[in-house]
Amino acid sequence: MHAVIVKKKKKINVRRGIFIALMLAYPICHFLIFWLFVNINTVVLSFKNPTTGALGFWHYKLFWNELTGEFGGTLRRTIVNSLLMLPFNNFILLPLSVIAAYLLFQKVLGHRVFRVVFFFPTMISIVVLTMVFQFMFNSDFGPVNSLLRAIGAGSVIPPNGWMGTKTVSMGMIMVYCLWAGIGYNVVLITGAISRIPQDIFEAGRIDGIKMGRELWSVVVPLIYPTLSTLFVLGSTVVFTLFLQPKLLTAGGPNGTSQTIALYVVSFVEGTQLERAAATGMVFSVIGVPVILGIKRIMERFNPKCEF
Amino acid sequence: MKNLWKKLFVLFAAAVLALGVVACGKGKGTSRVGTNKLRISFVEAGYGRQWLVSWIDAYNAAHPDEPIEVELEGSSQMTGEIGTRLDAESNLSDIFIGLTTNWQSWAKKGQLEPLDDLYASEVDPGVTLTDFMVEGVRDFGKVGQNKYAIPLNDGAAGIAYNKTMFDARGWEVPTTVAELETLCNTISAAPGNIAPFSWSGQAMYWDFPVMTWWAQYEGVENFNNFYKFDSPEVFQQTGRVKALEVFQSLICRGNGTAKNSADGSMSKNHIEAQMAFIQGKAAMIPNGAWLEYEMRNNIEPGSIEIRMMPTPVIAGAKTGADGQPIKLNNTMAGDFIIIPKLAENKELAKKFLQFVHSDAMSKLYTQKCGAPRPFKYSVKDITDLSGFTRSCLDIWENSVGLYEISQSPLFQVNYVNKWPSYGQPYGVMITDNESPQTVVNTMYSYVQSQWSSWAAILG
Repeated sequence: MHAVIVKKKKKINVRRGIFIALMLAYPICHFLIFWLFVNINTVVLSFKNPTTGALGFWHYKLFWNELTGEFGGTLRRTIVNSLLMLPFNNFILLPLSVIAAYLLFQKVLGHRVFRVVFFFPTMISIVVLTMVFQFMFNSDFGPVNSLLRAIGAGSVIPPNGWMGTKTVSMGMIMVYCLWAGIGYNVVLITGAISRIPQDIFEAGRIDGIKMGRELWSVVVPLIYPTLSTLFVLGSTVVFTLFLQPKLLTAGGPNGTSQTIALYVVSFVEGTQLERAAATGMVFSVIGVPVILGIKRIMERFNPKCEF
Repeated sequence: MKNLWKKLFVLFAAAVLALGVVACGKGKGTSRVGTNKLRISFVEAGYGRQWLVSWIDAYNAAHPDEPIEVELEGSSQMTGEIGTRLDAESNLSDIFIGLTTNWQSWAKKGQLEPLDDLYASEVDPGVTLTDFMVEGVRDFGKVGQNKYAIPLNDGAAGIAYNKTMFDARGWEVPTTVAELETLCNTISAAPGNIAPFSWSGQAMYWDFPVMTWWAQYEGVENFNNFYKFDSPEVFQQTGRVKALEVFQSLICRGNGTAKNSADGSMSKNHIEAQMAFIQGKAAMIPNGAWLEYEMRNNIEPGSIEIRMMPTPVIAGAKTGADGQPIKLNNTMAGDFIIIPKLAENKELAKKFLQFVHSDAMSKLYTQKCGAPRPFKYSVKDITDLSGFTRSCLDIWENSVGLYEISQSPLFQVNYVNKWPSYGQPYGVMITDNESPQTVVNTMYSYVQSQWSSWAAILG
């Protein structure tokens, strides 16, 4: 009897082992190939001479020379553009997303339509979406320019176009990010709000609190873990945003809407892989502790309840 | 002990899976080694794929006993993928066809198959591939002592115009820059709110006429000397300043905006700019021989006729023995054909490439996509070509071709190009009102400041 039980237990253990192995195999493989291998390769590549293959600090020196030199204006502007995405994402896009999600949750008039309007852009390919956005602001047939002219505000239209004016192009990328990105945030935040027990809202209403107070004092603290996750994700955009400027403005005019990631990608497209790797390494060395720091700070303020 | 076994088992399973994934990545589908199968990856862009399909059909018709099976992989982003695949030694096709890029760096890394035997082979009776090439591109594929690439196409790039509009309004095609400037004034003053030019600020095709003006002023020899990049001094060529001065007088208003241009040109991508031209919002557009094919779905049959004009001649252009300015054509040739060193079916790939570089196949290419190839063949007897294609081919046949070919390691690793530091200078000339001389001086200073660092890297 005992032997049968031991045999059965062994069988169960083997099955468990197989199950665990199968479940772990994919993430481990993914980690080994697409993270560990790629990153080690990138580190080595960043030190490689493009012609001899010898190792050295050449491309780090080129980066430093460009950053600090007379001709580094575009690179410095690139860094500023990317840094601007942090306050934009976290202090403009995120609060607007919270407000939009709260209003949808409150079932304001037309909430079903707005839900579709907010979420629709997240389902469409970014290539199509940027094209639609460009067409909206096209000088020849874009509805935005036609509308502005119709209401007598044609003078607002930049003479070099919305995407081709230095002082406007980066702003247009932000407007696009707001238009296309708010839906993603709204979906996550709406989910978090809907998990808050109704009793809490009812108690607030009995106390006579208004919508603004409810949002600020009840909803925001109770969905803080979701917000802090979105805050951290919004911060990483500083180092990852490249498709939007590439497709909307090609980083122009004159590099004024270029971002760090687009700068790195431009080296890849020019098959200067070693230079791209070195530049990427520099920004990773700066970016990783910054993002981890932001995460740590957000966790410090994390209230103990979560919905 | 049990836990140890469990851990070992998990690690083993992970390793097996990892190896499986890596092995899968090494190739795509079954092996083509020693078979009649070829895989060709190519940029499917302005010229489409019909030319390649026709080549394959012709090959199979000529080799009924040994037909080939070709898997075609077309992508507009293929050029960017080739380097990654070569580096990863993964998903390699037998032939890659890409757009202009510094493929020479792949040859230097030993990732490409030398094609010297193909260059020396006969493509037609008594004619080797080298013999068949036009003089200007014979060193196109050269890196060190070997040749690793074949140029795909030749062409004509400069200024295209709306012939229907020109004919209806009695405008003459300008032959000099002075006439072009006068024409711009005439078009701007004409009723109908037509702009002289439509162009894209995101893809500055102004390079096409500007490079021709530069070469017209400097002469082809000096233009080619620039691409040797022997010293930073080449960046100070007067022709560069003169060519940019033509652009400045045509387009820069001097207050941060553009003149003689369709609304919002700085803001447009190349498709938007071409749409504006096709819709008749502008009379001319800086563009290339691919314009008509790329926009074929947007041109109503019979609605407009477009043509390419020979690039108007700059004041002070070099003249030939007859005292007339030498006719130059910016070919924008740079697209390439390569065979990876680790390709599975290299011999069949070479046999196929030998076949498609004959006189007949070159004509077939031109017939299918409208572009010429940089080989010595006549395009006169090719039928069924549009007026636009014919105008491009006339320019190509009757001009000296300009080719951006360089053996300089600086160029091959992409440290220098014709517009260093700024990228294309047209944007800063329009929005920042920078003068051509300032632009050229800044580029020169930049190259001078970087020269020793680059030299140290390249040894």
